[in-house]
Amino acid sequence: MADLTHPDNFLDYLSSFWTQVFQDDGAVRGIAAADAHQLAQLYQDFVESVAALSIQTITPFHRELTYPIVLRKTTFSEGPDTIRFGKGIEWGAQPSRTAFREGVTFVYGGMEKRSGLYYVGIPAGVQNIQGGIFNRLINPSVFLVRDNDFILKDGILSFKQDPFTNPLIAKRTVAGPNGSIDEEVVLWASDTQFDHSTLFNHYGFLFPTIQGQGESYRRALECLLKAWSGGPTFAALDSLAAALAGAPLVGETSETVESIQFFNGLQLIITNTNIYTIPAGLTMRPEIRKGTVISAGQPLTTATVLADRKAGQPWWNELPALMAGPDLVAADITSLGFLNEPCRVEYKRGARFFLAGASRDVEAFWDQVRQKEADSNLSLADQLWRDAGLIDDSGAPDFSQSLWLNPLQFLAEKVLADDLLVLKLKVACLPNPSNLFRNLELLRRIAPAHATLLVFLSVETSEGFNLVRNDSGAINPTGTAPVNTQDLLDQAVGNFPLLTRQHWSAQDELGLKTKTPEALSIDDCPDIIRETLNLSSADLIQESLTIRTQELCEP
Amino acid sequence: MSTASQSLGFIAGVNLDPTRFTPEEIAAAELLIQQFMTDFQPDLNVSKISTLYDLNVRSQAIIYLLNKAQSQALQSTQSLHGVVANPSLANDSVVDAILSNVGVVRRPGAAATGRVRLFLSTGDSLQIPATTTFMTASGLIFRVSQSYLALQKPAAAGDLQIFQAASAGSSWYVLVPVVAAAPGINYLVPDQTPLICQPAPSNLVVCRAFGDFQGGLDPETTASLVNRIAESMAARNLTSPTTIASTLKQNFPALLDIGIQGMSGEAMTRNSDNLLSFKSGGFVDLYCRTSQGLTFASVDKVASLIDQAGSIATYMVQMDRQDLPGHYFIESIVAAGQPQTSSYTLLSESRNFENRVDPAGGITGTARPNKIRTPQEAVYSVYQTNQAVFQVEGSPDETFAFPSAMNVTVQAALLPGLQAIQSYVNDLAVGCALADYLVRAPVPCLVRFSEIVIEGAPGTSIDAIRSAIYFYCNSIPMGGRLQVDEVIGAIKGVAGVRFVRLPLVIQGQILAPSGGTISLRGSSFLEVPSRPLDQVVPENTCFFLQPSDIPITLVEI
Repeated sequence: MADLTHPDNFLDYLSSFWTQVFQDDGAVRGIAAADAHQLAQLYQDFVESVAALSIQTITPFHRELTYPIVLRKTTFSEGPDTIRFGKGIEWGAQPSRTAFREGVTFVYGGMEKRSGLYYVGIPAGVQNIQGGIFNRLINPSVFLVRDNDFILKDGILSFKQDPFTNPLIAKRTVAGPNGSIDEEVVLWASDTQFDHSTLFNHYGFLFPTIQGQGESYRRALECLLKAWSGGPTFAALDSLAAALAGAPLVGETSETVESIQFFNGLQLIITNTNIYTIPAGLTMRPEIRKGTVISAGQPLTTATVLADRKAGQPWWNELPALMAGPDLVAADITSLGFLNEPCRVEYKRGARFFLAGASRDVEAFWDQVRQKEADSNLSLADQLWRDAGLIDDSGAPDFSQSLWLNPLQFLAEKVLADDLLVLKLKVACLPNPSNLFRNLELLRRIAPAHATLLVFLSVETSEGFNLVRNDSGAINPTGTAPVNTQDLLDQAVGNFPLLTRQHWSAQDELGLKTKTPEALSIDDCPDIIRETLNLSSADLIQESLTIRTQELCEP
Repeated sequence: MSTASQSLGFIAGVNLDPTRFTPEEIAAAELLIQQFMTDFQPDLNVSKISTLYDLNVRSQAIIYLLNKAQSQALQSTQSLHGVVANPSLANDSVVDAILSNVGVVRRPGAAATGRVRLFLSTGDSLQIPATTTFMTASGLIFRVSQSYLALQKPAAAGDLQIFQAASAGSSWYVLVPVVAAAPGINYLVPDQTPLICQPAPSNLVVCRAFGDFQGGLDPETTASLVNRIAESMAARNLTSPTTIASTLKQNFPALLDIGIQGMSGEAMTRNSDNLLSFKSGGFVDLYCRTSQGLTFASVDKVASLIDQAGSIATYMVQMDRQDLPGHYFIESIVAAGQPQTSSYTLLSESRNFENRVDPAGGITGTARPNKIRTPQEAVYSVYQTNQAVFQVEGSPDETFAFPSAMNVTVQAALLPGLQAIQSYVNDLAVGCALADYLVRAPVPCLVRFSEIVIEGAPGTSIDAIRSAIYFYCNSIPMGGRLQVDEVIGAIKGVAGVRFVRLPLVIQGQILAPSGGTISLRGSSFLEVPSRPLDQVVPENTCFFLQPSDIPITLVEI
């Protein structure tokens, strides 16, 4: 059967009259080619409609086989110093984490900065040009290669050379909006992707807190729906956390790892069906080895790791301590620290071991233990000494023998044991941390209700931040100096650079004391992590100021 | 029911209209055709003033765009979000059919019920035919569900009793059960609302609503229905908060909202019964809202005389756990057969619990499927018991001999259906192994409004305004807050309303499981505080507003 989306077949199908008898057969061929092309586009639309019925097959972007790019001379800008931003693009200094930055965005091959670029805004919704750009649809004489001759980013199409000076590109004179004379060229982009919100309209609207675009968005929704409708299996939650963070996952139902290689400093996982790249900064999961069979949704990196008592290494091994608050302890306390190091168990009125925290909290905790021992006629000391096998000949606990105990291990293995799900996140490595943090509540709603989900954030202390006062009375700083993250976490305000400390140099009403931040919010790489630290000291006025942090890292 | 093809929204002769498309879309389609034609034959004139443009380019472009538009419309009908965003794509029955695939069924709404008090000039027997209707001034109609015979001394089951009263102008009255002619919350008429009886008995003086009418519910909107899709797509088990909500709502359609306190829930106290007071896994408290408004139900009990001093006697009535399970508070205690308005003075309520259950769900076994340590943990659950003490005052001019036991009717506010949910989650074939699910009614925050003064056009319906406020307040999910601006938005959604005078003060009273009362007051919002020691947190507390607690004054302008 002939494929009528091919222009020649379509023309043959019409009848031999048009090609053999009719004189203007070029016109008919053109009409037939247009018909055939439009037929192909409608077929593409139909395929996308069918694919949209499943989260596994839906295409994140709509595809136009060819898309006309109409350029007018007056809308063109020459760069790099006079960028004309397209509609919706912020003018002036770009805020932090904006992908479009002068001198940064237009880097060919990720290395070289070019100058002499030509910019134009294109309609919103155009996400990408997968193919090239041509001057004609049939036998083109100009073919512009993506990332070499043009770049499309943030709604700006930039060319390496001015299309209006290319003699092979047809130009025509047109009237401008106010009657002026303008020049126009039409170029054709092949395989252009548009965001028609198909993913959102079909699936994403059910979970509006999940944001994103493209394949990572589809993958996050797919993992969520799997966990949502299949129940909170360990694997489903593990996949979901990774997918929300944008970390790479296995794509096919079943794949076999054939080799693991390095290329240009990046780790590649080559399977029988795919090649996965481990992004810089991420570490491949140890269970991914040559010959391993991996399955759809399986995370490939340690950017996010889910753990419970049974899975992998003990989750508490690498932690220096765990602070337990009211969400874990039903006592009138703020926080208790269980250290991950051996502590001697004292036996006085009963057993007690070292707990970090305010003395009020520690004493309240042990008082409550004593009270419960009295009420229940049970003894914590009896249990601890017996568990350690420290008993005398009669089988009674031998309190004359010393007992050492790791409080965190005791907490993790004896007290909480199977009641905890632990999610470890390497914040600095997460490709899309804000999406994950925005949806931690969603994870909690999917995790078993009769257990607790603990989330550990691993923050890179090697990073620095600029700290700026964020309260209404703050004066815009004229400069900033980076603060070391370790100093931030240690609350070592004295180590902060003088310029940063001066941001709080305003005096109180009497001019006697210096204001200081009582609470400081770390807006780490994801700008929604908010960890409150107490930075107050006695000689400073405590005031609820917050600090806005600006990352130093450049893309 | 419309079909998908009917829903596409294309009407012959109307939709073949180029103004449906933007100039840019038309230009792009035309450009493609022009480019192909000139690529094959560069000397062709396909400009807008050419014959080829008129004959071919323009028409082919429009036909292509129409085909493309149909394709896009088809894709929109496959998207529920698209259907909701553009209701013309599909009517309610199409939406219902699509959603039935994922187990979501539209709540049909419910007719309000209540009792009408007919004041009579004589105590003669009265026949109330099944065709009798009662109508409010705003035209809301209520019917009786059967014919009744009212007598001073009822002879048969179903007969109504004619009571003697002391109201001016009438000496007798009868209480007639009625049901609204249609579902909807606007039928929740408040106590004492005047009604017109048709046909009216010859000895009728006046008739009014007796107590606030209950149970009226509007049919669910498509938007609300779509909001439930995600939940209904969740797995059916009692594991995670999402799946628990999904499973219970599917099995108990009346379940409107559920607050879940799991292992580390602030209001979870049942799981720290160990030496270190650490919260342990396996425990889940389910706070189930099974009704928009409070429901009032009654039970007949025998009260015991515990004290007597002159003409005042003190009685105690023991409410077992099967008596009005999980009730919030006792509204009234009256001598059996007397109207609720003649309640004795309630002195105290003292709550305890009984959580022994035999395998058949009875009360005599020794198994305790739900661990409860303190009476506070059982409050508003089906294991709650309640000992009410009340005072009876005799006439001072007579020697009053109080009986040692007295038949009384106890009326209490509650949410219905908790027992069935508790039995369901305790079923070993349903619940997760090792998990302990305790069903409780949400902690109630009883809301009252100050006088709401509204300026509106003549004829603006106060009933509709009251319904709008009632619906908003009683639909706030657990964890949400009651906002005055949204109340005003609901009021302004009623036809004729022009202005709502401020301030609009709201008061709330939280009846904490600890036995205490937490009072709230605000002119911008009411927010449930977090008081874990009282077992009050936003996630387990619901706002309840009764129609009678919405005083409205309409100023016609």
